[in-house]
Amino acid sequence: MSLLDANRAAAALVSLAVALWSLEFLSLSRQFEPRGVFSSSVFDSTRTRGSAVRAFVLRGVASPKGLRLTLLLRLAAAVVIAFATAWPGILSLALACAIATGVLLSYRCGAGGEGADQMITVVLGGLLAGSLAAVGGGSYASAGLWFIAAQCCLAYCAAGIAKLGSPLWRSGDAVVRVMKTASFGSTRMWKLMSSHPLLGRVTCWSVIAFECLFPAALILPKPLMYGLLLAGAAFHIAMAFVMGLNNFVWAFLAAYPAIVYCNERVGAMLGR
Amino acid sequence: MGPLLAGVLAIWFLLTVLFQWKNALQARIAELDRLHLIPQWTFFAPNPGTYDFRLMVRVLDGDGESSPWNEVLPVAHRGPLSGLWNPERRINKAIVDLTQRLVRAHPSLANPDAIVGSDVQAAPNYRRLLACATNGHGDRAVRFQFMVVATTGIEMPEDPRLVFKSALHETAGTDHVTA
Repeated sequence: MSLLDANRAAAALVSLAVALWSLEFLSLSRQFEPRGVFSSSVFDSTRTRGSAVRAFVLRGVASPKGLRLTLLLRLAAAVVIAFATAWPGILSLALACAIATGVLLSYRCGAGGEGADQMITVVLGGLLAGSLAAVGGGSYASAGLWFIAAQCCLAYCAAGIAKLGSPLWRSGDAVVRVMKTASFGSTRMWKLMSSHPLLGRVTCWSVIAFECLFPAALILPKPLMYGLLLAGAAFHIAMAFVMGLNNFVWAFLAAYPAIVYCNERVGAMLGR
Repeated sequence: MGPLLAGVLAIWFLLTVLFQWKNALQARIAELDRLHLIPQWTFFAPNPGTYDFRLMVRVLDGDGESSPWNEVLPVAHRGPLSGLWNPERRINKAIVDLTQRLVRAHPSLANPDAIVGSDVQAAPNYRRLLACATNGHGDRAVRFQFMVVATTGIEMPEDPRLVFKSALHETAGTDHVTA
């Protein structure tokens, strides 16, 4: 996979994640009203202290109109990111806009964030560094992809190691108990796992093994690397439909082109 | 420009590594990272969320009669398309975030008989929950109180455990505390 192809694929996937993020928050506009969970009245009084510019920006995004405009701006940036990979200058602007609006809106919400949002920022940041390097002459243009790949490996590995240290995960109870919650669970899956305890143990240990071993994707031969990425895609799609974690699919798949790109470069270094 | 960008990314990655596990730098990084650019990747671990946090409200009329506790912003039922479109998860997650931060900052709230002091009531996390709790009061309501309970179970919530209970608030102005 060439540098351009990897950047294109990552940009297309992360643009879907950013678009979905923006559209979902636009649909929650009632929650940004004074009696909503993202109420701006609290935000006004507690978060707009500081410099005049900062206060102006934060007050702007606190108002319903300013908030809607910021969300629409982020949505527009997502569209540009998907189609502007051939023009590094325009792409850089759109990526910077998506990062800035994301940071601003997360700050404005103050709660309700998730890991997918963090991966979106990482992928946008890596792509921005790559496109700025391209604008500046091309040296270190692949640094962004290496950064995304390293963060992706760290994300899975840190999650896997943390689960490995947890008695709840090692016993197999973690998944069964999560399945019993209304927020992330599923009646059907909970009943299935409760009546077959081995299934819970196998699921927990499969997740731990997959997450801990994911960094090997950088050095494995290509067919095995693709196998690991397919397992990752299946894992996220399953989490989306069983647990409702829909944006993890697009956010994490957006990092996979960087894994493919870096795996090929590592393979070349190893003489494969 | 290339080396500078590569340096920035290297520092970002290094800080992310240091931020994953409890160490002396973790708290310092969290304090400095006002924009939340440094990710914490330990999803659902070591202790996954095995409870639903439910925001409950009761109202009191002029005679002091209390209504039953009713849930505000209940956990939304997820349909077959939630794998594609599921904005409501943000609302549940926000209630969990606000509650956990509040209880972490004010451990005395874990005591069900705790008096909710003015410092707690001034906290932004408390005020956000209070704002949500002002929904759906009837005409006869004079005061109201909210609480967060942790439950398990999907169709039929069970094993409710009190996380914290608010002070009593006047319905007319949510900033006025009466008890």
